Amino acid sequence: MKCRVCREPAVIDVRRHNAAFCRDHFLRHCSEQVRRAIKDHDMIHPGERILVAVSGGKDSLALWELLVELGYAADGLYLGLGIGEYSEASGHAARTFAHARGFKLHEVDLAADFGYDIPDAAAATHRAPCGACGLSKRHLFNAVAVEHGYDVVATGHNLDDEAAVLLGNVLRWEPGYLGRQHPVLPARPGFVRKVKPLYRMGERETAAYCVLRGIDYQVEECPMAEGNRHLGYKEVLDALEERSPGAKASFLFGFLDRAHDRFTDDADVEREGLQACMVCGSPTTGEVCAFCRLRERVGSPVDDPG
Amino acid sequence: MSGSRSARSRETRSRPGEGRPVPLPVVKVVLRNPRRELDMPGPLTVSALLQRLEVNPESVLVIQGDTLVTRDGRLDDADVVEIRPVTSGGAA
Repeated sequence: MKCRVCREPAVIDVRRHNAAFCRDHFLRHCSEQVRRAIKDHDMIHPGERILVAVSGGKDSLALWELLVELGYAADGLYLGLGIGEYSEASGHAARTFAHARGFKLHEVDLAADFGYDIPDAAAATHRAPCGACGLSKRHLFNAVAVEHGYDVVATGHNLDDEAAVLLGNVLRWEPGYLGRQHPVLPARPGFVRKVKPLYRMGERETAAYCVLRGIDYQVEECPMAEGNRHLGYKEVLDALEERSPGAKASFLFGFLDRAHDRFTDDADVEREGLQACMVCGSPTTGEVCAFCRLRERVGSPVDDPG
Repeated sequence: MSGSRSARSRETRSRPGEGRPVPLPVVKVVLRNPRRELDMPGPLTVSALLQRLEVNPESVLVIQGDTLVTRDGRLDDADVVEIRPVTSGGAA
């Protein structure tokens, strides 16, 4: 295969673009995808400070590198989940990456700072660990961004992640979730803006970006995610993509262009009636937010908002 | 990640009656999650390798040293490649 741009030997094919790229032109392709995502959805405004949700995996490290390369002021936040060797290796990857580049990395440790970890939460709630993990991440990324005055939280959700979530939301016809599924969630009182600048890049591309840039990311999969529903959706979509290149992008981009607006009212209804959580002060639709309810269930000591 | 040069030096053996080591006539394939290795007879293309292993090319990268190999890339005996899954499970 030859690079579409320079005709030199290619290192990767991107079948949905019917193209292959050499190393340098692939890296430019990635940068262009992120630049376009930010521009098309007005994700980041000049002078804004970004907090990147960093897991130590390929997506978040690629995102952080790409944002800084594009000239944005981006710091990272690593959340220690307490998932044994997996978390130790993830934290090491995040710290090593940040240290080598002189990037600022905030850290929060669930066990040390909040008295529980994800295995505890899964056991206490009798639910899949991914639920407690996602809830903790959403709450704490926003809380740290608010506390430190960041304007935007950027997450490494890629095209595959978003297509898989969309498939799940469609299979269950979740109108509220469909209304909230977008590359940008605007800021609201108590919430900073959330953006997904990698939504135009497949996860094969984010992994390739890391390999070609020499980024040493956490390759091992989270042991608690094994066999989850989201991975099943991805497997189905990968099979479709192999038979019909571009299927994932058509599914996701078609939804964003032609269907998302039909569900925004449903999302707005679910957002009505926000008030301060009586425990931590974060915005919530109930008296106590979901994060504080989770802490209560796992027996984690809670503080007054002060 | 193992570079092919160092792997070549490891993957040698002596034929009976000969003192000089010769390369093993195989492509060494490193798989992840969990990490394991297997030998495949070469030469073969990346596409053929993935087909034999029943791996969807959309879900992996094929890595050789510090670069990537495309589907039409040819793998020769004594080459070392890693097949690295790219699918992650977090949906939060």
